[in-house]
Amino acid sequence: MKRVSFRGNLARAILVLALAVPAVAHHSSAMFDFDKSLTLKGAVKDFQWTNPHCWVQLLVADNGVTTEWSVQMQSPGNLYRAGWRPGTLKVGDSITVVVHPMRDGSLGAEWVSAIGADGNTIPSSPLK
Amino acid sequence: MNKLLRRHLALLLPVLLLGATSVHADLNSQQRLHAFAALPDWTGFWEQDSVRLGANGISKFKPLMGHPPYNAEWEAKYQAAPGPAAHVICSLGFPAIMDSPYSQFELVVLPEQTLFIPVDFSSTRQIFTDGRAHPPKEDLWPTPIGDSIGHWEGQTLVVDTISRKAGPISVRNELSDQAHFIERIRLVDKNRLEDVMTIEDPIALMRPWQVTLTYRKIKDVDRLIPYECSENDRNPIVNGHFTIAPPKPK
Repeated sequence: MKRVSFRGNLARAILVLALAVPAVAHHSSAMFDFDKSLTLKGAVKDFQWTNPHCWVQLLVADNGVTTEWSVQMQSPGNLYRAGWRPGTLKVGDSITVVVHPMRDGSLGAEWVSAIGADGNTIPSSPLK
Repeated sequence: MNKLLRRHLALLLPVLLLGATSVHADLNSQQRLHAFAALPDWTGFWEQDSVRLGANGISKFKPLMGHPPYNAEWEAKYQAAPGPAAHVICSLGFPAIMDSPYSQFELVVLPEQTLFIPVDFSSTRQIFTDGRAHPPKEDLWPTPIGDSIGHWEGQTLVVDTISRKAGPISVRNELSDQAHFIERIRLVDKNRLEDVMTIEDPIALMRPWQVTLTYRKIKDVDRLIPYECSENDRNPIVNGHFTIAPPKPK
């Protein structure tokens, strides 16, 4: 597993300057830096299908050090509409996730998109 | 047939007849069926018109209510209130639930009442159309959704809501518990519903405030999936900012 860290390895980080997206969560999204996108490659430790947000605990290894990221997603209702199901991610799945990182530098982020080990977008049956 | 059996049958017969009668009594009367047939068909799932859901489940949303015409005192309160960063969108209540990214809802229109059931189930509205009045003052206390009664003017549902607990009507805006709401809800076309809401609040507003809310029929859902905040809220506010808490141990 490879960690691509915004703080630790700018060369490998994918930074995207984009217009702020008016993301909607159960709280303000100001905690996330929408001007920055970060690509994390890791293994799913846990997929929490819960309200008000679903979460992916992602184990990201970089140079022999493994860190655990908390990646915040939307509510089960929104994800369900977008084609997600509680079993879409399983413990141990190897995924590559694009996220907006926390502004405070902590190991948390908001989910943007992901691809699985087979190179396909997750979920495989997205929004109709 | 022996004497004992005949005696048992004699005892059972009235019970069976009573049961059969009550089955018939439970059927809808012709009067109720006619009343139902005269109502508009608002079947289906709806959401505030500006909401657009992305493939990652993130919604884009634009509030339609705008800024209330506050009097000077309440405008000053509004200006002094913390910005959206310190607010949490949970258990919205009325009228915030009508203008929210979590305003996916189902309408159940019956002769006696119309039910507005949002994904935030705690904000379900029961709008009585059976001719009742609001409860007397001594039986009324402010609640997050208030007390709603309504009547039909043709195909328009006119709703009168009072006794709403003071609190946010959107992320920042607030109204007092004296607010009085009149809504005129109608189908604009088969996929669009309109709610023209007029709000009077002698405590907070300078004048009546009219807003028009529109809803779009959504076809990518087949059920309401409950939304609430108590199950696994991992965003505590620390020093005025949202943070991410580690997962709870299993």
